[in-house]
Amino acid sequence: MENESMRPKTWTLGSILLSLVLPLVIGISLSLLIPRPIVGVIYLDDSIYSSSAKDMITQIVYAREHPEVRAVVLVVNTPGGTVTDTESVYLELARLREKKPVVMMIEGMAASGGYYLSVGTDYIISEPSSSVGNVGVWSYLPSTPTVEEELYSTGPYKLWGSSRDTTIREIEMLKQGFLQAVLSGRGDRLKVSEEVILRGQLWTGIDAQRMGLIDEIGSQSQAFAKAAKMAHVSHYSVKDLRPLSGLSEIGTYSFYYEAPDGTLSALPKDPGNYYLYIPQMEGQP
Amino acid sequence: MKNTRILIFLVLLTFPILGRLLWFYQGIYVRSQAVTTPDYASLTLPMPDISTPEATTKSNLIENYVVLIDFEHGNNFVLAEIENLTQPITQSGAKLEISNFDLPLSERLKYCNAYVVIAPTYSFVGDEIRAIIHFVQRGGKLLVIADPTRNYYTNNSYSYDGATQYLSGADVANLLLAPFEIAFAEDYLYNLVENEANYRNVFFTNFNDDALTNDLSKIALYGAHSIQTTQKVLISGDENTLSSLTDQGGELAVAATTENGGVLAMGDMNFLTSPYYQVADNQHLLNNVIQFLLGATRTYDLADFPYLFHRTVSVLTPGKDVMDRDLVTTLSEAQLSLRSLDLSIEVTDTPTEGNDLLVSGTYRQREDLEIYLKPFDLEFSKEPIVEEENYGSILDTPEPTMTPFLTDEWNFDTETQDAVMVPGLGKFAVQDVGLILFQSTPERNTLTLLASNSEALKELTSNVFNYRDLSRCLIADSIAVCNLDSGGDSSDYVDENSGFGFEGDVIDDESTVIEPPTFTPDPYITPVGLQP
Repeated sequence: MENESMRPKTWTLGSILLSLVLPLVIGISLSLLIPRPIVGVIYLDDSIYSSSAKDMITQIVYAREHPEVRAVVLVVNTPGGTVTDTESVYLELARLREKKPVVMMIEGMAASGGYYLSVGTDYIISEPSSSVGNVGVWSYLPSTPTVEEELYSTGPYKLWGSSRDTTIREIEMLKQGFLQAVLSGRGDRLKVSEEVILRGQLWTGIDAQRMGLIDEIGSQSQAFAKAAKMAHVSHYSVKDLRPLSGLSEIGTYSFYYEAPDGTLSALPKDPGNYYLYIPQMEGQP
Repeated sequence: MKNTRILIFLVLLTFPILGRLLWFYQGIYVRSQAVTTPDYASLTLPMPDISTPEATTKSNLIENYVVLIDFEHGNNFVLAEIENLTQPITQSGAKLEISNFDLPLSERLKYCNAYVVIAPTYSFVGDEIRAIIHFVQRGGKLLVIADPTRNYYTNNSYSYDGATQYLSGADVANLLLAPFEIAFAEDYLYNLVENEANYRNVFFTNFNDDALTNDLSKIALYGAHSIQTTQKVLISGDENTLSSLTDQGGELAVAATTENGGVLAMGDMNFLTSPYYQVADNQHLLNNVIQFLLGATRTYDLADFPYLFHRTVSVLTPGKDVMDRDLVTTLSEAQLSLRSLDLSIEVTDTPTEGNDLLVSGTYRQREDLEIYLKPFDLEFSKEPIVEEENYGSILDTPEPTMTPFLTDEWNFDTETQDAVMVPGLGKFAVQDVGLILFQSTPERNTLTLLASNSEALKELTSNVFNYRDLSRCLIADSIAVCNLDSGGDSSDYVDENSGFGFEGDVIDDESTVIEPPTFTPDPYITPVGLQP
């Protein structure tokens, strides 16, 4: 009996399977449940209007609700767009940033509304020659109200929406909102005064970095790496959030005014307030 | 052993999990700072200080005070926009006229007191600019407003080779203001530090002492050109008010006047439109501009003919209890002419205070008219007559003439004639010419007509009032010497009915009366040859 109790136990095949292989298999299987982190990418290569804003918001919501998306990179090349659509995307980005880091990558241009979105991210990277800035608002002014006899309305501004003077003051108020967004988004990183920002200028990426309007000159892959680093992830995958969020191919939408001869204008076709860069050049329709 | 197996089991179970976890995730993302967004609820519409409406200061205007608004130079505004300027002007009793191509500008400026040019885009031609200079020199007020928001370019080409010349509104205004040493820059002013709801709506608080800046502490201009001038700057910006041309600042002027106060240039029109005229002290400024326009004290000279009178005209007829036919004719011509200028005449014995005055008489009555002739330094004298070849033609003419040469009954010195020396023009034989003498003072304009006799006086008066034609006159400032067809010798030919002016020495000399020739039949010739 004594010899039996002192005799060492031998690893049988069964015990090896049970003690070594099984937990390994289970462990590996369980580890596969841990998703590979994703750096989600939202591309904006268009003006910011209702359709493009909806697409962006869908992708932002997807990123917020899916834990495997650990960080988001916005890659933009946009002249901006309507004030309301820009603000709606900006506010969704703010909600996303409470959970996950967001990095902006400016490709060709982030003007006006594009820059409004940029200051709503955690880190801004730009190409050296990208166009950045154009802080400000513009709006079509309503015509002076008159008395209409064939078209009756119930108030002096029912047909015009507002007086010209009030519209001017409203865009000034919106401009103040834009300025606040820049100041709160850039904080101490900003190296120029408010007056310089409010000039509405477009700067190159190089100047913008010098002025503290952006953080770094770099490329898309650097933006992905930065986002990953902020999210404390590695060996991540970079994925376009558009197909992941179930969006179809980008449709066509006529944002700009099209003349009867088919010439596209640089001006939007719809009335409203705009965070939008309109290049003023000779010969521009 | 059993414990060891459990340990191994757990290690092998967790190792892949931890390994994968650490392979992908090196930490947990924690925000270092809260996400901040603008406080949208705190944003408000920037509203300016609004001044309370104020009444326009009443001005003591002369009768028929005229303010002319220019609409002949592509002026980029509508009259309704400046009603805050025009209504007080008309309420003050002044007349508002709109230039609309019915009269040349040079004609209009003869009688206007103030001329307003707003947002012009078509050039003024040389004659117009000369007329405006003359107008300002004689006390007229000129207001020129150029506005960068009204500044479209037009083709003002006068070149025959087809080349086009584009002028902006500022260019056009500068051509007009060049003689007065004031110029608008082709820019607009802006301020990003402090403004009236937009970077280009700038507050101004720098004012130089002048009636035009009276009671001003802060005004707002809505898109304004800067002004460069050697004259007097009235309003200028602070160091944060920059020019769009240079993005530089430094007391850029937006309003200026000539040193004598005759010309006012302003770089913005919108401040006098609704609702902007109510912002800050804009209404004060507007009232000051209105007082500027209503404050002209014009002087006139014969270049302003026929607009020489601006009040009711007193016509003196002392000693004329009963008007004759000639006088009625003459007065009716004068009345008709003055009625077209909205003026009336009064026939009185003595000059009426507050009225203009019309006096006429013959050279013979010059001593009685001395008070009206004295300012003109006329010198009457007798000059020798230079014999001319055409005397023969006068003797041969079958028409009876007034010349004294034809009859032996004339007490006539054939060697001298009466002459008058007119300063600046020379010496003239009084028988050949009539004189128009014009004196303008703030209290009264006086027109004196002198001629050799009643016929000549009638002709002269008709030229002045009926035909309004001084084309046969030599003019120097306030004196015109006019060639008349009805001339005569004033020293010997005196008509007691001449003029509707003063009592004077009327010499009744029968020798001056020319009887028609009579026919005395030859007594020795009868139709049938009979002898008496």
